[in-house]
Amino acid sequence: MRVEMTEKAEMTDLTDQELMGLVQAGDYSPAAVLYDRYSTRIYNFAYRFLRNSEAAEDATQEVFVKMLRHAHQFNGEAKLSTWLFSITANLCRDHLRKADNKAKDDEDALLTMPAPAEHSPQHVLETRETERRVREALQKLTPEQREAILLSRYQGLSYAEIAQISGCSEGAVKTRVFRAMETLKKLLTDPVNGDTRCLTAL
Amino acid sequence: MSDCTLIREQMPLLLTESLGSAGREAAHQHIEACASCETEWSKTRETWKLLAEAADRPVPTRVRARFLDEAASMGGAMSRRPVVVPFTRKPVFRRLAQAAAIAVIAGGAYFAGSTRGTTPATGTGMIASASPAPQFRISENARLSADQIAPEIAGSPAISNVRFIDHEGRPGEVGMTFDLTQKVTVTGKATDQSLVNLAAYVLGDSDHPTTSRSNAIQWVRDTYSTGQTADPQIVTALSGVLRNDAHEGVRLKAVETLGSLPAASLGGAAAQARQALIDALQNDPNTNVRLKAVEALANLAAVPDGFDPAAVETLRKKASQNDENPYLRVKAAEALSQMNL
Ligand SMILES: [Zn+2]
Repeated sequence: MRVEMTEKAEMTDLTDQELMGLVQAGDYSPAAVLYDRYSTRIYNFAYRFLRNSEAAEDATQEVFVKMLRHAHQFNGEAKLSTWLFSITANLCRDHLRKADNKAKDDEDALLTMPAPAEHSPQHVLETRETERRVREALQKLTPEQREAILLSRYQGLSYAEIAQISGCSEGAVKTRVFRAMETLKKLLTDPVNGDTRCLTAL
Repeated sequence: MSDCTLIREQMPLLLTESLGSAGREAAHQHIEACASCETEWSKTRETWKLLAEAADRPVPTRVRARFLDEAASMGGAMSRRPVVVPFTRKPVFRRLAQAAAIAVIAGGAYFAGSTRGTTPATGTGMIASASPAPQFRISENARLSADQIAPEIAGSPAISNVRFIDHEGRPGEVGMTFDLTQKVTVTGKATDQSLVNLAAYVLGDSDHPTTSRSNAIQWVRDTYSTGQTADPQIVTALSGVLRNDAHEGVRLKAVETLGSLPAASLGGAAAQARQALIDALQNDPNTNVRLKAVEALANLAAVPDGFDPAAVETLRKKASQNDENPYLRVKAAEALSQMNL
């Protein structure tokens, strides 16, 4: 226990490139540190993309396994996050392509999330309702649009990075984000759509 | 394509600040003047904000356990040998090696709407070993073990977003994560790297409030007006503000400050400052910013063997540019005549 903690403390001080250098040399001991650095971002991308927590968990695990297995494909000059998101986006697209996987969302997971204690029950309900509407609205986008908006809005990536991940031109990313925003705007800010809140409130 | 269509297509770029300053300025001018685009812009911004409500969820701890199991079975070495780092590295903050459980995991005040990437906590240690290593790190996330924290709490700091988590499935260990808002006062010399970095950081991100950026620029001006050599990082940050800041008042202050710094105090960063001023003179949509850029450029045009050719050329072009502000053209011509070329 003591040994492990000490080593971990040192590992966390290394850069992504240094850690990947070790992995490329066949040493998998940075696995936990790399996982801790990126798992939240990877998991949440997959969860927002697939809206299925089980599939998001599987995708997260697989991304990191691929990171170890295909470490030699990682170019040390590149950003590790861009490479990991390329792998993640590929897995998520594959998942959607397979039949029966579409729109198999699990809303019940939302209900079991612990509520921040300092907010009133009313506030908590409203926040959850907005969150539900946002997650639902994201599912109305095409997978390409969803991929682009998730990487731009939640990961803060540039259009150039997104183009690299999605395998398209920057112009295409621009169009996808624009179209995604047009759809989301209608779903989230139009009063007509807003009214459905009363019907579906928790 | 009509103006309105073009502007609407640019709205997502305005949100992520991916438009050049001229395009940004033109878009905002149109939006201010066009009622229907203004409505769309406010809906666009509201939508962007609402998206942040679908906040990040924690990854279930079982995923980590499953992954590490699989990694161990993959045949790569999972050794406990000391790490040998094959690269040159910056000095690191080596944390105290703790055998105790990590019992407090503190997430720094993280704004859920931020578009910046968020690397989870483990990358940044906050407490370093004894002097002379730094004792405190300003960071988005900090991960600490309980015995790295003094038991008593000083004052009544704001703590929010509290969650209690099991610590990676280790029996008998718990974790507590929260956002902490802390007022921090740092004192030291103007040359202290920590202060230089802080000022550059505040200047470098237009998400920071206008007053903060403005105060940082004022601090730079007060500090370096005496001729003390300015840190190149500060010059880079000021140049960045001049190029990218959406707020004219802030750009104006940045250009005035670049102009007020004694040329000698810029050292090796003078060329960079000149280039930023040339860019501003050519591209900034605001006349006052361009006007101040003329003065500042005239100040910094001198190089050891005469005057910087690019600076002289830019001033010449401005002096003869028909659609430029007449007063600015006169100022550019005056600056050139004082150089006695
Ligand atoms: Zn318009």
